[in-house]
Amino acid sequence: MKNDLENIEKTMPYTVPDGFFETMEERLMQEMTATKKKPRQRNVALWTGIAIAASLALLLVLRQGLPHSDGVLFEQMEVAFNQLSEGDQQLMLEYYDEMDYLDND
Amino acid sequence: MDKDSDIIKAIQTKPEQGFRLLLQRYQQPVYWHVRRMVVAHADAEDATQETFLRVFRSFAQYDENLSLASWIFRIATNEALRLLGKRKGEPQFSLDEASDDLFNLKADAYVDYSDAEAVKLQKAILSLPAKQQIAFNLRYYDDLSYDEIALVTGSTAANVKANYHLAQEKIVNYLKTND
Repeated sequence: MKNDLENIEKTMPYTVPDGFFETMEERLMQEMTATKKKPRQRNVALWTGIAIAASLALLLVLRQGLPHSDGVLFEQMEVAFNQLSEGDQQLMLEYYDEMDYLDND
Repeated sequence: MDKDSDIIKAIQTKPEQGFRLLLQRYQQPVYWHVRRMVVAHADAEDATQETFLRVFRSFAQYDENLSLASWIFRIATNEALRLLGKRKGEPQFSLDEASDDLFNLKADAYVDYSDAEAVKLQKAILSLPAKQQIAFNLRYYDDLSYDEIALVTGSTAANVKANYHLAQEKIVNYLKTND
Protein backbone atom coordinates (compact mmCIF):
# COMPACT_ATOMS: atom_id res chain seq x y z
CA MET A 1 0.00 0.00 0.00
CA LYS A 2 2.80 2.35 0.97
CA ASN A 3 4.53 1.54 -2.33
CA ASP A 4 1.51 2.82 -4.27
CA LEU A 5 2.12 6.27 -2.86
CA GLU A 6 5.86 6.02 -3.23
CA ASN A 7 5.37 5.50 -6.95
CA ILE A 8 3.60 8.82 -7.21
CA GLU A 9 5.79 11.88 -7.51
CA LYS A 10 5.30 14.53 -4.83
CA THR A 11 4.31 17.05 -7.47
CA MET A 12 1.23 19.23 -7.10
CA PRO A 13 -1.06 20.62 -9.78
CA TYR A 14 -0.96 24.04 -8.14
CA THR A 15 0.93 26.90 -9.76
CA VAL A 16 1.61 30.56 -8.86
CA PRO A 17 1.96 33.72 -10.98
CA ASP A 18 5.48 34.46 -12.27
CA GLY A 19 7.69 36.15 -9.68
CA PHE A 20 5.06 35.62 -6.99
CA PHE A 21 7.39 34.60 -4.16
CA GLU A 22 9.92 37.37 -4.83
CA THR A 23 7.14 40.00 -4.85
CA MET A 24 5.56 38.58 -1.72
CA GLU A 25 8.86 38.56 0.14
CA GLU A 26 9.42 42.25 -0.63
CA ARG A 27 5.84 43.16 0.25
CA LEU A 28 6.06 41.32 3.57
CA MET A 29 9.38 42.97 4.42
CA GLN A 30 7.84 46.38 3.70
CA GLU A 31 4.79 45.61 5.84
CA MET A 32 6.97 44.32 8.66
CA THR A 33 9.11 47.44 8.61
CA ALA A 34 5.99 49.63 8.55
CA THR A 35 4.35 47.62 11.37
CA LYS A 36 7.54 47.85 13.39
CA LYS A 37 7.63 51.64 13.12
CA LYS A 38 3.91 52.27 13.64
CA PRO A 39 3.30 50.63 17.03
CA ARG A 40 5.85 52.83 18.79
CA GLN A 41 4.10 56.00 17.62
CA ARG A 42 0.69 54.45 18.31
CA ASN A 43 1.78 53.10 21.70
CA VAL A 44 2.75 56.55 22.95
CA ALA A 45 -0.70 57.80 21.93
CA LEU A 46 -2.37 54.70 23.34
CA TRP A 47 -0.69 54.87 26.74
CA THR A 48 -1.27 58.63 26.93
CA GLY A 49 -4.95 57.92 26.25
CA ILE A 50 -5.04 55.14 28.83
CA ALA A 51 -3.33 57.37 31.41
CA ILE A 52 -5.86 60.17 30.80
CA ALA A 53 -8.78 57.75 30.91
CA ALA A 54 -7.45 56.08 34.07
CA SER A 55 -7.02 59.50 35.74
CA LEU A 56 -10.60 60.41 34.83
CA ALA A 57 -11.83 57.10 36.21
CA LEU A 58 -9.88 57.70 39.44
CA LEU A 59 -11.37 61.18 39.72
CA LEU A 60 -14.84 59.69 39.30
CA VAL A 61 -14.14 57.11 41.99
CA LEU A 62 -12.80 59.74 44.42
CA ARG A 63 -15.73 62.04 43.80
CA GLN A 64 -18.39 59.33 44.08
CA GLY A 65 -16.74 57.10 46.70
CA LEU A 66 -15.46 53.57 46.19
CA PRO A 67 -17.56 51.28 44.01
CA HIS A 68 -19.95 49.06 45.90
CA SER A 69 -20.25 46.42 43.29
CA ASP A 70 -18.52 44.99 40.24
CA GLY A 71 -21.22 46.57 38.11
CA VAL A 72 -20.23 50.08 39.20
CA LEU A 73 -16.54 49.34 38.61
CA PHE A 74 -17.34 47.95 35.18
CA GLU A 75 -19.29 51.09 34.33
CA GLN A 76 -16.31 53.22 35.35
CA MET A 77 -13.99 51.09 33.23
CA GLU A 78 -16.38 51.58 30.35
CA VAL A 79 -16.30 55.33 30.93
CA ALA A 80 -12.49 55.20 30.91
CA PHE A 81 -12.49 53.16 27.70
CA ASN A 82 -14.85 55.67 26.10
CA GLN A 83 -12.33 58.44 26.83
CA LEU A 84 -9.92 56.83 24.36
CA SER A 85 -9.93 57.92 20.74
CA GLU A 86 -11.62 55.64 18.25
CA GLY A 87 -8.24 54.59 16.86
CA ASP A 88 -6.87 53.70 20.28
CA GLN A 89 -10.03 51.79 21.17
CA GLN A 90 -9.61 49.82 17.96
CA LEU A 91 -5.94 49.19 18.74
CA MET A 92 -6.82 47.88 22.22
CA LEU A 93 -9.49 45.58 20.79
CA GLU A 94 -7.03 44.32 18.17
CA TYR A 95 -4.45 43.74 20.92
CA TYR A 96 -6.89 41.69 23.00
CA ASP A 97 -8.01 39.85 19.87
CA GLU A 98 -4.35 39.03 19.14
CA MET A 99 -3.76 37.77 22.70
CA ASP A 100 -6.93 35.69 22.49
CA TYR A 101 -5.80 34.26 19.13
CA LEU A 102 -2.39 33.28 20.47
CA ASP A 103 -3.94 31.70 23.58
CA ASN A 104 -6.06 29.55 21.29
CA ASP A 105 -3.13 28.48 19.12
CA MET B 1 20.26 27.15 3.96
CA ASP B 2 20.39 28.69 7.43
CA LYS B 3 19.53 26.56 10.41
CA ASP B 4 16.57 27.62 12.55
CA SER B 5 18.90 28.49 15.44
CA ASP B 6 20.81 30.89 13.15
CA ILE B 7 17.54 32.51 12.05
CA ILE B 8 16.38 32.96 15.66
CA LYS B 9 19.73 34.47 16.62
CA ALA B 10 19.62 36.81 13.62
CA ILE B 11 16.09 37.99 14.50
CA GLN B 12 17.22 38.75 18.06
CA THR B 13 20.26 40.73 16.96
CA LYS B 14 19.29 42.18 13.56
CA PRO B 15 15.50 41.80 13.24
CA GLU B 16 15.13 42.89 9.62
CA GLN B 17 17.91 40.65 8.40
CA GLY B 18 16.60 37.82 10.57
CA PHE B 19 13.05 38.06 9.27
CA ARG B 20 14.29 38.07 5.71
CA LEU B 21 16.14 34.81 6.45
CA LEU B 22 12.99 33.42 8.04
CA LEU B 23 10.93 34.38 4.97
CA GLN B 24 13.49 32.87 2.63
CA ARG B 25 13.36 29.59 4.53
CA TYR B 26 9.64 29.36 5.35
CA GLN B 27 7.72 31.45 2.81
CA GLN B 28 7.35 28.71 0.22
CA PRO B 29 6.71 25.77 2.62
CA VAL B 30 4.06 27.83 4.43
CA TYR B 31 2.42 28.97 1.18
CA TRP B 32 2.25 25.40 -0.18
CA HIS B 33 0.99 24.02 3.15
CA VAL B 34 -1.81 26.58 3.22
CA ARG B 35 -2.49 26.19 -0.51
CA ARG B 36 -3.00 22.43 -0.11
CA MET B 37 -5.63 23.20 2.51
CA VAL B 38 -7.48 26.19 1.02
CA VAL B 39 -6.79 25.36 -2.67
CA ALA B 40 -7.40 28.82 -4.18
CA HIS B 41 -4.23 30.82 -4.85
CA ALA B 42 -5.69 34.15 -3.68
CA ASP B 43 -6.78 32.63 -0.35
CA ALA B 44 -3.40 30.96 0.14
CA GLU B 45 -1.69 34.29 -0.52
CA ASP B 46 -3.85 36.07 2.09
CA ALA B 47 -3.35 33.33 4.70
CA THR B 48 0.42 33.20 4.10
CA GLN B 49 0.71 36.96 4.43
CA GLU B 50 -1.34 36.97 7.63
CA THR B 51 0.74 34.07 9.01
CA PHE B 52 4.02 35.97 8.64
CA LEU B 53 2.59 39.19 10.04
CA ARG B 54 1.44 37.21 13.10
CA VAL B 55 4.86 35.53 13.34
CA PHE B 56 6.49 38.96 13.20
CA ARG B 57 4.13 40.55 15.73
CA SER B 58 4.30 37.71 18.26
CA PHE B 59 7.90 36.54 17.85
CA ALA B 60 8.69 37.72 21.42
CA GLN B 61 6.31 35.01 22.65
CA TYR B 62 8.02 32.22 20.71
CA ASP B 63 9.44 29.56 23.06
CA GLU B 64 12.90 28.63 21.77
CA ASN B 65 12.56 25.15 23.28
CA LEU B 66 9.93 24.37 20.65
CA SER B 67 10.64 23.72 16.99
CA LEU B 68 10.45 26.94 14.95
CA ALA B 69 8.91 24.98 12.07
CA SER B 70 6.12 23.66 14.32
CA TRP B 71 5.37 27.13 15.68
CA ILE B 72 5.18 28.70 12.23
CA PHE B 73 3.15 25.83 10.73
CA ARG B 74 0.80 26.01 13.72
CA ILE B 75 0.05 29.67 13.04
CA ALA B 76 -0.30 28.92 9.31
CA THR B 77 -2.64 25.98 9.98
CA ASN B 78 -4.81 28.15 12.24
CA GLU B 79 -4.97 30.80 9.51
CA ALA B 80 -5.99 28.21 6.92
CA LEU B 81 -8.65 26.74 9.25
CA ARG B 82 -9.91 30.23 10.02
CA LEU B 83 -10.24 30.92 6.30
CA LEU B 84 -12.05 27.62 5.67
CA GLY B 85 -14.38 28.39 8.57
CA LYS B 86 -15.05 31.88 7.20
CA ARG B 87 -16.18 30.34 3.91
CA LYS B 88 -18.79 28.39 5.86
CA GLY B 89 -19.71 31.31 8.12
CA GLU B 90 -18.06 29.69 11.15
CA PRO B 91 -15.26 31.12 13.34
CA GLN B 92 -13.04 28.05 12.92
CA PHE B 93 -13.18 25.00 10.66
CA SER B 94 -13.58 21.68 12.49
CA LEU B 95 -10.60 19.32 12.32
CA ASP B 96 -13.03 16.44 11.87
CA GLU B 97 -14.50 17.97 8.73
CA ALA B 98 -13.32 17.52 5.15
CA SER B 99 -13.03 20.74 3.19
CA ASP B 100 -13.63 18.72 0.02
CA ASP B 101 -12.96 21.91 -1.88
CA LEU B 102 -13.24 20.54 -5.38
CA PHE B 103 -15.08 23.66 -6.55
CA ASN B 104 -11.98 25.78 -5.89
CA LEU B 105 -9.79 23.13 -7.49
CA LYS B 106 -11.87 23.35 -10.65
CA ALA B 107 -12.34 27.12 -10.56
CA ASP B 108 -8.84 28.32 -9.66
CA ALA B 109 -6.80 29.74 -12.52
CA TYR B 110 -3.54 28.53 -11.01
CA VAL B 111 -4.07 24.78 -11.31
CA ASP B 112 -2.34 22.68 -13.95
CA TYR B 113 -4.95 20.14 -15.08
CA SER B 114 -2.56 18.48 -17.52
CA ASP B 115 -0.93 16.63 -14.61
CA ALA B 116 -3.84 14.22 -14.07
CA GLU B 117 -2.05 12.14 -11.44
CA ALA B 118 -1.22 15.17 -9.31
CA VAL B 119 -4.82 16.50 -9.62
CA LYS B 120 -6.16 13.12 -8.52
CA LEU B 121 -3.83 12.96 -5.53
CA GLN B 122 -4.97 16.43 -4.39
CA LYS B 123 -8.62 15.41 -4.80
CA ALA B 124 -7.92 12.36 -2.62
CA ILE B 125 -6.25 14.54 0.03
CA LEU B 126 -9.12 17.06 -0.04
CA SER B 127 -11.62 14.28 0.65
CA LEU B 128 -10.00 13.63 4.06
CA PRO B 129 -11.00 15.22 7.38
CA ALA B 130 -8.78 18.25 8.13
CA LYS B 131 -6.79 16.49 10.91
CA GLN B 132 -5.83 13.68 8.51
CA GLN B 133 -5.04 16.15 5.72
CA ILE B 134 -2.74 18.13 8.01
CA ALA B 135 -0.96 15.02 9.35
CA PHE B 136 -0.52 13.63 5.84
CA ASN B 137 0.60 16.87 4.17
CA LEU B 138 3.10 17.86 6.85
CA ARG B 139 4.66 14.39 6.86
CA TYR B 140 4.49 13.59 3.15
CA TYR B 141 5.39 16.98 1.68
CA ASP B 142 7.24 18.78 4.49
CA ASP B 143 8.98 15.81 6.14
CA LEU B 144 8.02 16.93 9.65
CA SER B 145 8.35 14.35 12.43
CA TYR B 146 5.27 13.05 14.24
CA ASP B 147 6.36 15.03 17.31
CA GLU B 148 6.63 18.25 15.30
CA ILE B 149 3.21 17.67 13.70
CA ALA B 150 1.74 17.00 17.15
CA LEU B 151 2.93 20.47 18.19
CA VAL B 152 1.25 21.95 15.12
CA THR B 153 -2.10 20.28 15.80
CA GLY B 154 -1.96 20.36 19.60
CA SER B 155 -2.23 16.59 19.64
CA THR B 156 0.03 13.65 20.53
CA ALA B 157 2.60 11.97 18.28
CA ALA B 158 0.68 8.67 18.54
CA ASN B 159 -2.51 10.39 17.42
CA VAL B 160 -0.74 12.05 14.50
CA LYS B 161 0.80 8.74 13.47
CA ALA B 162 -2.63 7.09 13.49
CA ASN B 163 -4.08 9.95 11.43
CA TYR B 164 -1.21 9.77 8.95
CA HIS B 165 -1.60 6.04 8.36
CA LEU B 166 -5.36 6.33 8.11
CA ALA B 167 -4.94 9.13 5.57
CA GLN B 168 -2.44 7.11 3.58
CA GLU B 169 -4.80 4.14 3.46
CA LYS B 170 -7.76 6.27 2.35
CA ILE B 171 -5.69 8.02 -0.34
CA VAL B 172 -4.48 4.75 -1.81
CA ASN B 173 -8.07 3.43 -1.86
CA TYR B 174 -9.27 6.66 -3.50
CA LEU B 175 -6.59 6.41 -6.18
CA LYS B 176 -7.53 2.79 -6.88
CA THR B 177 -11.28 3.35 -7.05
CA ASN B 178 -11.36 6.66 -8.94
CA ASP B 179 -9.59 5.76 -12.17
